[in-house]
Amino acid sequence: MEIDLFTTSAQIVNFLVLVLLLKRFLYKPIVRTMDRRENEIAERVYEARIREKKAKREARISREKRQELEDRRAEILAHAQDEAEAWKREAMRQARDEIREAKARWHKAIEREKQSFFKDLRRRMGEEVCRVSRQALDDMAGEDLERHMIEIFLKRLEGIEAEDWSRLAAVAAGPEQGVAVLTAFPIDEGVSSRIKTVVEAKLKRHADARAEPVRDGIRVRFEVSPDLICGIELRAGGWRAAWSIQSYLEAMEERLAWSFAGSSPE
Amino acid sequence: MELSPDSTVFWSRGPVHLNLTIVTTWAVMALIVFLAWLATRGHRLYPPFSRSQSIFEAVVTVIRNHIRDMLGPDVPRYLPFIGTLFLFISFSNLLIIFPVYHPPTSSLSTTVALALCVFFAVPIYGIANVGVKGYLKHYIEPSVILLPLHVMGEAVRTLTLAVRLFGSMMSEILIAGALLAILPFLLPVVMKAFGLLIGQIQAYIFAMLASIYIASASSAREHVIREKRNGQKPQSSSGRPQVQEKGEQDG
Repeated sequence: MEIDLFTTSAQIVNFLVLVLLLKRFLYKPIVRTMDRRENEIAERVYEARIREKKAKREARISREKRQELEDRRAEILAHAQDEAEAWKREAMRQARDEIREAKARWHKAIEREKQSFFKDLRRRMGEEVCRVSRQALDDMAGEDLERHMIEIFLKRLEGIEAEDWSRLAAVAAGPEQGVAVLTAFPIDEGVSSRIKTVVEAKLKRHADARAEPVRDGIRVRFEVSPDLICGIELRAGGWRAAWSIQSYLEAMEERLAWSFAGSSPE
Repeated sequence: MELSPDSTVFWSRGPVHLNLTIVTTWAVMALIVFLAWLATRGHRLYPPFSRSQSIFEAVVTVIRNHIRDMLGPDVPRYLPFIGTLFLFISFSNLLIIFPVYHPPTSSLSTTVALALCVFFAVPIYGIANVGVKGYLKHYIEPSVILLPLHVMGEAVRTLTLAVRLFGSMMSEILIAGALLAILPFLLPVVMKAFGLLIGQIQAYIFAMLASIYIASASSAREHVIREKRNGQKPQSSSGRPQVQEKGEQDG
């Protein structure tokens, strides 16, 4: 157990040689590699952080844009809903108005059709009633309907109030000059002259009573009007006295209308 | 029973002789350099690494971290010396698993040589760090009375370094030899394994003590540097890339 000086010196040299060799073959390359790796990792981490920050920033911008779009969408949607609601209200109002107008038009048309129908019905019924009555009277009693009607007409003329005759006379003496006798059927000369005589006598008497003498006499003219439906009418200006089955037909029409409506006039 | 490989001489001429210690030292050196060359020959920046690269990188990283902790951030200055101390002792002791192998560290000449290297390295690094004046100054700190004690301490710690390593390796060989004579089976194997552990611990202790001695001689330098900074914010001693700070500055 002694120290050999040569060996010690040789070992010192050996150790220093080993230091140099390892420095050349181990430490330098390995440390360089590790440092490069650390630097590259550090750079990558740094770049990753930069990218992360950038990504976060872009994500934030994207989020804000999305929020903005959402807000805009909600705004547009709300606006569209308001507009749609307004349009709906307006459309509903227009539709109601149109329905109301259509309903009114329809009612008017119905009313017109009803009136036309009843007018036609009345006329047809009158004609039919006249025909049947005439036929019945002729077949069963050998009587003429028109002649009876003329008779009744003449009697009714007698029953007209004096005041009414005076008014008629005043109208007949006016600018229109005359009285018209309208019949639903043609009458012969004899009947017409009887009527003319009665009317002229009545008018003359009442004109004299009013101290308004008739200068050229009152002209009585005769006209045939199918619209009268089995009746006779005395007309002067706006005044008229009529005897026809019009009132019967109107009562019948009223009852029919009530029947169509599903209830009775009572 | 030969206790020292110095006594096995292969060739001699005058004072120059080639003994087993020198031969095994060359063999260990050749092996370390060969493995280092193998590790760095096709070394890669990223995985997959070769086994030798992984082992040497792990060893170098441990040594670097140790130096960084003991001596500060100037790792490249100390790495070749302390790293080679550790690797040489470690490999020398590791190869005792081979039956005919006689570790050079079981020679007092080798351990003295290594201790002398440390003995001279301490003032060299100390002077390199703080200058001659600064280095010599620490011998008279805190008082000039302590100068003999400092000088004695230098000598004694060199001696203890040499004897500790030599004693450990010699004792292992002695115990192994003694046990082999008493109980030839099993127990020597256990003792061999124990010797391997002791050898690695000794390598670590030697390297650590060397770094402590160098650090103690360089402590004046750190004091001077602190004074020069004059209250400036100290930089990170890790020497690693400051990712966070860079990132924050640039970001």
